[in-house]
Order: sequence, then C-alpha cells, then structure tokens
Amino acid sequence: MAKKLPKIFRKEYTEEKFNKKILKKIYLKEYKESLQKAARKTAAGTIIINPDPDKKEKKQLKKIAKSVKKNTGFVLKGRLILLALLFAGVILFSALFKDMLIEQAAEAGLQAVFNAKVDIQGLSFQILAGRLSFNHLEVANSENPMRNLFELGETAFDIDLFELLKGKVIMDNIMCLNIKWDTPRQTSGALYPAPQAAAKEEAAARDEQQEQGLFDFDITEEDVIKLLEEQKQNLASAKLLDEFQEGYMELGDKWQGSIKESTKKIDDLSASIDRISAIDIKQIKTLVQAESAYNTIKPALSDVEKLKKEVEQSSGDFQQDLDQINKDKDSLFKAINTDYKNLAAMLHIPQGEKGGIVSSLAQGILEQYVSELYAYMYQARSYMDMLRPDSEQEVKEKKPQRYKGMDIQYPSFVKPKFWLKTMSFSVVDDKSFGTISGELLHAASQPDLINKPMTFELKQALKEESVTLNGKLDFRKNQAEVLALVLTMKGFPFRLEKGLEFLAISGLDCTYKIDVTFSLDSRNNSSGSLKLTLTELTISYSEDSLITRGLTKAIAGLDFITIGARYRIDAQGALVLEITDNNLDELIESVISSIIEELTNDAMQLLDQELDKLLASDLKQYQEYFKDFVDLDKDSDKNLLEIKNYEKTVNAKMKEVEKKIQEYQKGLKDTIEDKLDDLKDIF
Amino acid sequence: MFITWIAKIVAALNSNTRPRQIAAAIALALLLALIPKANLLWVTLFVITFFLKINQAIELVFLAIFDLIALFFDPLLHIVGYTILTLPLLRDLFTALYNVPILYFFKFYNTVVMGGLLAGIVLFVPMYLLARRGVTIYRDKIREKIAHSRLVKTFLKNPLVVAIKNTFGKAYNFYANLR
Repeated sequence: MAKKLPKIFRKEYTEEKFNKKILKKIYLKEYKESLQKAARKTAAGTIIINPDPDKKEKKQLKKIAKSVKKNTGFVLKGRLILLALLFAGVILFSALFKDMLIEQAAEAGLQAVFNAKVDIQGLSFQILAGRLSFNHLEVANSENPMRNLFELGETAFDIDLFELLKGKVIMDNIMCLNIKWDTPRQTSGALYPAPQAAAKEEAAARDEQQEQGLFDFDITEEDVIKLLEEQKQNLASAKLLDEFQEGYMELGDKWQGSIKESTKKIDDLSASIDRISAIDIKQIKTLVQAESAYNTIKPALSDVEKLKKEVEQSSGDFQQDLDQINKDKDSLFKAINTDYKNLAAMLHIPQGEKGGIVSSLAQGILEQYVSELYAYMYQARSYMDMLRPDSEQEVKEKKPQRYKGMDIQYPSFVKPKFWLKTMSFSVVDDKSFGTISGELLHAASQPDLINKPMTFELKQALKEESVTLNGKLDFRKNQAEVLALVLTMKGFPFRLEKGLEFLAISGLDCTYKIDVTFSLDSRNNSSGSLKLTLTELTISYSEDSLITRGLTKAIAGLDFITIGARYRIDAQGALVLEITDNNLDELIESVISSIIEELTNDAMQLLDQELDKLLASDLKQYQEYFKDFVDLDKDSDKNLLEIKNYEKTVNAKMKEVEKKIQEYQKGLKDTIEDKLDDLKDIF
Repeated sequence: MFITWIAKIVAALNSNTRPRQIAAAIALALLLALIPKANLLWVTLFVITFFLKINQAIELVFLAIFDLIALFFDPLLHIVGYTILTLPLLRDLFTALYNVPILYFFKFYNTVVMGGLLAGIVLFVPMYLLARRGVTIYRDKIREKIAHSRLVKTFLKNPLVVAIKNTFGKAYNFYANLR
C-alpha cells in the first residue's frame, strides 16, 4: 500500500527537514492541515506520512506532492534542457548536413532551371557570417549533354547580415573566378533524353550599297566646254554683261553728245577770249580807252561764267554715272569669279582647302565609335541611378512621435541602402574571348555616405589582343565629373569594306590600338579624347586612280598611322568630333597635292580659257564702252579745265581794266579839284 | 476572454503556487508592459520568462492589463528615456553600444524603450514585494471569506459556471502537465 504514496511521502524526515522540504513549500491552509493530519511522529522522533491513507486522503496527498515538487527552484530545467538540445541539434545538423542539403537543394533548383545536370562542389553556407561559397559549379548543356553550358570556379558571396536585418544590403565581397563556357564533360549532363534540336533560321544579311561617284581628276577640254554650254544660261557674269551693254549704249550716246556740245561752246568762246587776252593794259592811255576795254571784257565774262556753270553741272552728273559704272565693273568681276568657282566645283576641282583624307575617313568611324561608347556609358549611368534611393527618402527626417518615442542618433558609420564593396570575376575561354577579369569596388546607392566613388576595371586578354577598361562612376553630391573612363584596346584586327568606295578602296585591313578617355559631367555633357593607332595596314583597291596611287605611295613610307581626336557630346546627345592630329594626312596631302595641284592648274587654266572665250565678245564690247566712258571723262575734265582757265584770264583782265579806270577817274578828279581851287583863288 | 483571464488569476491564486512565482510574474509583466514590443530587447526578456518558474498565465494576464495602462505613460517614459539617453556622462557608453551590431536591434536608443526599461527595473522590486504580500494576504485572509460567501456559493452552483469551471479545469490541468 505504501508504494501508492508519492515518493516524497514514502521517506522519513526529521522535523527540521520535514518543515524545510515539505511544509515550507505548502502555501494553502487546507493542504497544510491535510498533511499534518496524515503525518505521524515515530518513536525515533522522525516524521512519516500515514502509509495507508484512505482514498480521499491519498488523492489529496498526491496533489500536495505535485505542488511541492513544482515549488522548487527558479528555472524550468526541462525547458532549458529542451532548448539546449535544440541548439545542439541545430549545430549538429549545421555541421553534418546543412551544407550537403543546401548543395542538393541548389543543384535541384538549378537543374530545374537549366533542364540539365548541375554539379556543385565544396559548398559552404555560414549563416551568421553571411557567407555562401563553393569551389566549383558546372551546369551541363541540355542540348549538348556532353558539354557544359558554363563552369564557375571559386565563388563566394559575403553579405553583412546585421545590416541586412536593418534593410540594408551591404555586400562585402562577390567573387566568381574561372568562369568557363562550353567546356567538355566526362559524363552526360542530360536529365532526360535530349529533345531534337530545333532548326535555326539564319537571318539574311542585307548589304546596302551606297551609290557614290568616284573622284575624277581626268578633266578634258570637252568636259569644260560641255559644262560651260550647260551652265551658260546660269552664269551671272554673262547676264550682267548683257544688262550693262544695253544701259551703257544709251548712256554713252547721251554723254558723248553732251560733252561734245560743251566742247563746241568752249571753242566758240576761244575767239573772244583771245581778243581779251590781246588787250594790253599799258597801251590804255585814256579813260575812254579803258571804258572801251571794259565793255569788251564784261559780256565775255558773263558768257564764260554761264558756260562754266553748265560744264560743272554736266561734269557732276557724268561723275555720278561714272561712279556707278565703276561699281558695275566690280560687280562684274565678282560675278565672273563666282561663276568660275561654281564651274570649278562642278568639275570637282579642290578649292584651296586641303581637307585631310584620313581625317575625313576617320571622322565617321570615330564618331560612330564614340556614339556607341556614349550610349553604353549613358546606360551604365542609368543603371547606377536605379540604385539611388528616392530623394524624398533622403530628406525624410525622423520627428519625435508621442507614443513611439524618438530614436537618439549616436555617432556611427551610417551605411547606404546598398553597398557592394568588392566584386571580382574572371572568365576563361580560350576559343573565343580568352581571359576576362574584372573588379568592381564600392557600388553604393548613397555614395556620399561612404565618400568613395565606384571604380571598376575590366581586362580581356587573348593571344594578340587585349582590352583594358578603367572607370570611375561618381554620384556624390557636388562632383563635377560623374563618369570617367579610360579604355585601351590593342592588337585587334580591323577591316573596313564599306564607305571607301569613293576612293576606289574595296577593303582596308589593319591592326589597331585605341586609347579613349571619356568624361561625363553632372549636366550630361561628355568630352574626351581618342588616339587611334593603325599598324600592318593593307589596302586593296577596286581600280587604279590618282587617289589610290597617292595612298599607296604614302602608306608605303609609314610604319603606323596615328589619328588623334577630341570630342564633345552635349546633353542632347549631339556629337562634335574634331580630328586633332594624324600623321597620314600630311603625308598623303604632300604626295597627292602636287598631283592635284598640277591637274587643278590645268583644269583651271582650261576653264579660264573657255570662260574667256564664252564672255570674250561681250567683254570686248564692255571694255570699249568702258574706254569710251574713260575718254569722255577726260574730255569732260578738259572742258572744265579750259572754261576755268578762260574765267581766270577774263577775270584777271577785268581787274586790270577796272584798276586803270579807277586810276584815271582819280586823276581826273584831282585835276578838277585843282582847277576849282585855282578858280576860288581868282574869285 | 475576460472570464478566462479572471479564471486564470483565480486558479493561480487559489493553487499551491509560490507567492513569489505569482509576484515575479506580475513584476515581469509590468517590466514587459512598460517596454515597447517591436524590438529584440522585449522579445529577449519575454523569451527568458518562459524559462523561469513563474506563473505564465498570471504574467500574460497582467501583461495585457499593464499594457493598457502603460499606454498612458509613454510620454512620461519618453521624457525619462530622453533624459538618460542624452546624459553627457553616458554618451560614450551608448555610442559604444549603438555601434555593436546586435545591440542595435535592442532599440535601447529609443526614448520610450529606455524609459520603459528603466521604469520597469525600478518598479520591479516594489511591484514584486507588493504582489507577494498581496498573495499572502489574499490566501490567509480573503480567500476563505470569499470561498464561503453565499454569493460565490450560489455563483459556483450555476450550471454554466460549473461547465466553464470543468472545461477550464481540464485545460489548465493539460497546460500544467505540459509544464
């Protein structure tokens, strides 16, 4: 029966222990009373519980024992043990199965994506460190199971978990080395029997042939005559000559008559002038003689003055017409010059400016190159813009809220929402693009917080060719330069088949090296420079021409061609590219320009001759008219001079006569006065 | 819901549970109620209480009650927290704690959290002593009187109450066995 009692009531206790271990843990009065009722003192002084209680007492004792058991200690040991077991289980699982299970799950997931076998080796996932890495991954090609679609070498992702919990993605490192494409497999990578490969349609390439005429320097006399015949009606000089001839004919007649009339009148006056000149003042002895001479001179003076006025008026009008004629002459020469140039242009004769042939060729190619580069960079910039948080979020201030309190900010390194500290990769493919390696540092959504620009480097190396791209993307505030790029490509073969037909070049083969700098400012204006170096140049020609001969001669003496350029691209995308220097233009120019100059001179001479022939008769007529006008001008001037001399002669004589008259009048007056004085004395 | 809560309190008070288990549950409930919940500090404290020999039923009931009361004291807790967090003397300490990754999620730098934590710690001992004394007094003096009052006897004889008591009793026993 005793076995039925709870364990704690089967023992014997001293009174002290009974109080301490049992009674002290009973807080209900009825429990205490029940226990005291069941407790008995033995002869030894110890306390035991009635080993044979009735059913009701037994039930009560069980309750008491249970509650006494509960009222010991402060910690729930059972739960702690359970928690410890749970932790141990997690650690054990993590150590033994976690990586394996994740590896299998990842393989299964990737197999579902690529529909081919995926093998991951050495996967390690450290949740607290935020690190996922593996040594090797290979994904089979579902269409060609004996080959891999790609392989990845040592790969690792490190993310800051604590920052991730704050909603910030801080990637300490992303590394993916030895990426390989299309590698062979030892075993088949097919999950299921491979489906029959669908036939691929090849898109037909459309070659747009540009219809461009060849430069033709072989200009014959027939070409010039034919051109002059065609353009005769359009020659401004011929039109002007027609116009002038008609006007000058009337004008010539008018002034010829007028000047002749003036000459006649002057001639008519010459007899009376001669008479006046013949008057000898010394021979005039009396007042009557003086008055007679005066009366002879006066009407002649009046006639001279009247004729002088007429001649001056006529001469002034003539000079006006003559000025207009001289202006017409200038217009005519200008028109002839313009016609000459226009005709020369129609004959494709280079006019003075020796535009660089290589510059012209390079301009188009480089402009296209820079435009493409600009498009890529602009796209890269837009991707980076996407990383940036909304401006509203940036300016959002934390204000104290009544029931949520306020977060006090302490000095701390505030990290951006996204920050990729380091990313590196390398790709190995001997067949197509050799080895590519890249590194990216500090890609961040709020670069002002880390105060570092994003920098990147990309390198590609093949046997002969190599590409190096170094760049800096800087979205920090108040930075003038947003994007800076230095691209170097060397050893690449270059073939140009189109766009050079006008130079009779059917193909241009060379190896090139290009150094490009690219800078984009905060206003989306770009600028930079290019330096293109072409080596091992081979040119094939579609036909033999002057330009091809010149090019061949020029290139034969060169080891390499360098072309330097500067460019600007404004915010609207308008490109201005300026070739700053190239070593070929000068050489080609010097070789070809002598030939061109010679041919040009011949052509120009021919054109000059033919134009002269065309305009000769009209010009001769014009020149005659002009000569007449010049002669008329001389006559007019002669008339004017003559009449002025007449006037001068008559005036001088008039003055002498007048002086003589005054003398005589004074002498007469003095005589009269003397006689009157004598008479006064008499009377 | 309310009846269940009352029943839980009554059951805990009338069982042979140590008064200090009940008192600790009430004091911890006060501490937890004063601290805002959306942070790792509250979660940590709450999880720790699951490993302590306290009356969880009482704790949850009083947590709900104190939560309602604590709402009105948030502005006061904000002032207390703000005062502590901006003390120049403690600035270096808080800066160091602020920069420890895991402690950031404890949100100790929030004025109400800090005010609640401090108020909770300060009020923990008085509340514990008061609650323990209250339980003792109840068990020694009030419990018998209530149990033998006519009102309670009549109430307990009500068939609905009997049904609830039986159901709750079974549920409580089940919970107790789980512990």
